Amino acid sequence: MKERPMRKWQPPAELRRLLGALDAEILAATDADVEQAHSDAGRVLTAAVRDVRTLIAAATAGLDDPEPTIALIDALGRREACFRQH
Amino acid sequence: MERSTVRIRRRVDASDAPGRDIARALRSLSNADLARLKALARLWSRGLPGGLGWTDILNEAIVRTLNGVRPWPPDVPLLAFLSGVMRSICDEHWRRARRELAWVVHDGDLPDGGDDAAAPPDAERVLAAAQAVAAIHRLFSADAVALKILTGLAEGLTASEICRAYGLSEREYDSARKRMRRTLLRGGLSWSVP
Repeated sequence: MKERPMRKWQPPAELRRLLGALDAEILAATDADVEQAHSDAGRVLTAAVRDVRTLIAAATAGLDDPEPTIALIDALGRREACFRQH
Repeated sequence: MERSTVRIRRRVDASDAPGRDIARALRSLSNADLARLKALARLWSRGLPGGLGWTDILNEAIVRTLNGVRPWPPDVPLLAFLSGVMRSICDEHWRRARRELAWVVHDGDLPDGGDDAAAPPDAERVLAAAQAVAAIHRLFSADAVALKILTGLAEGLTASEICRAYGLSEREYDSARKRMRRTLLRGGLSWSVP
């Protein structure tokens, strides 16, 4: 491929295009790519993303889900089990 | 069935997502999605001035989304949206740093900058960009095919143009892109500008 003359080199424009392309690469990565990338590096995915999960938990802390975290039927079941034990 | 929140979009008929819905979507991201999000945050925040790191940028993007400063539009995947927000936050930080430098250099007498992106790049901006481009190339320095692809991407070539220009087969191209994705996603990514 023909070399570009250096005077025409525009690093900011080149960087913008590169970052855009790499952004698209990351977004296009499949779950298998993600798993493989981490296993290649000898890392456990769950541990590698713990910091992101913590950050999200902290940022969304005041926005609690209005739905009960335990389904009503589960809660009743647990109550029954609790009564049987006593 | 594989479920990926990367492709999760809001319903087109939904109005602006309230913070609670966004919080729920964020909390339901899979580990793979979180790894993508981390890689995106690292990508945009590399070499940022003022000692800012990827967690600062990601946190800022999440906060702006939750409080509606940057509304999550319908039919846009969450990760793609957050990536765009992080990109614009990083652009803001670079602009601010350049303005502060201009303030110091011009002793408070700021030249009329106008549209910063459209302004001709100053020497410092060119140097920072050149260092960042070099850092990206260093990340793939052990992969000759990836380096060719990077050069083509930097010039704005399409996949077929890159293959033609560097004599790559479709298979070589696809395998290299896969390797590039894995490199980008790998936890370390310590490729900030020196």
